[in-house]
Amino acid sequence: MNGLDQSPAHPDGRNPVRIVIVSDVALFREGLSGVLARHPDVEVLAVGPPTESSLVAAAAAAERADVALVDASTVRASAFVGRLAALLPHIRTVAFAVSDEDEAEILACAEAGVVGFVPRTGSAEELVAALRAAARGEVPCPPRVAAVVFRRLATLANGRGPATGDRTLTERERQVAALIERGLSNKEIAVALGIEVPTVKNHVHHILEKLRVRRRAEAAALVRGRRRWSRPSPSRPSAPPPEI
Amino acid sequence: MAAPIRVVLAAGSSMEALIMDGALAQPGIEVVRTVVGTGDAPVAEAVREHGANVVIASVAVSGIARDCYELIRSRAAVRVLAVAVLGRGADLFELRPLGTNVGSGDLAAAIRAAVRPREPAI
Repeated sequence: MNGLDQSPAHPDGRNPVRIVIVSDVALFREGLSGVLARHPDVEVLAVGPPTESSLVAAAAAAERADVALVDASTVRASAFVGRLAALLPHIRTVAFAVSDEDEAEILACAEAGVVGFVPRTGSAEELVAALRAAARGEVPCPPRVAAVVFRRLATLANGRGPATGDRTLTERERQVAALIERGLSNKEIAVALGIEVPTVKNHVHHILEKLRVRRRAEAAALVRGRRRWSRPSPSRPSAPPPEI
Repeated sequence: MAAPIRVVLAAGSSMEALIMDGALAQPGIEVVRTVVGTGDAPVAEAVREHGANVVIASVAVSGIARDCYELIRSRAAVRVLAVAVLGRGADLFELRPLGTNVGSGDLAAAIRAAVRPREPAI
């Protein structure tokens, strides 16, 4: 399917939240549409994948839509949200199936313009509540996601920026950096950590940015150097450990 | 009118369960129970309790080596057999795709096909 499937208007007089659903996965689009069709508070105008052609179709539907519900696990989610926000500034975007452990993805979505998050552990009621809240201009967000965004804000406000060395790397980025240092490719890292390759690429991009290097080999050298210098040495705590 | 096919959903997260439940809102199919996570493993209990015909189990892609997964998806001529070691025993499976990039209609069709009586083996 290239464009969005246009659904008929919802026969409901209670001023439902009008939404478009965007996901790479057909089963997710259809499943969510099926779930939300049972709710009188929501009217699904259209569903489709995050492609250029569906962006145009989404724009047509979004003339009437209040909220775009976007699958956070979609490969191009944050890029799509950014383009949608540029095209239709009035539409508010809620990301669903968000992993609150994936800080990079949360920040990418927030920076792209997502105003609401529904976690993987969310229920149908939470989803509908988030859609209604977003339509009212609120920012529905689980506490752990809010914590990630606020931490980022504090870092930026304190002028520490995102480029002060690996102390600012997230736990996941440290894991990825360690595997880069061991010489693993993005594909091998994805398998090792049980995540998708695009997610690895996202982490690598952030690591290079934070470490202020251009190539992964430079990042690997930096991680290797830091590890050597941070290794404990009981006999001479202040002296660097020997080269291996 | 035939009795509906009773399905137990074993999903990885509540959002996934919600979506699958929505996808299976189809004539002749009834989701009798949804089990989220694998901690307490109550799937078998749910099947017995509700007399379920079909279980839809969510499988993490990370549970299968990436290259093997791509091979299975590509429907290559090669057959992929999986060995799972549990305790002192090893179980053998064949991994093969019934469909790729499926929608709710495909899933419902697969469920209906799964409960059809099979041809007797010769």
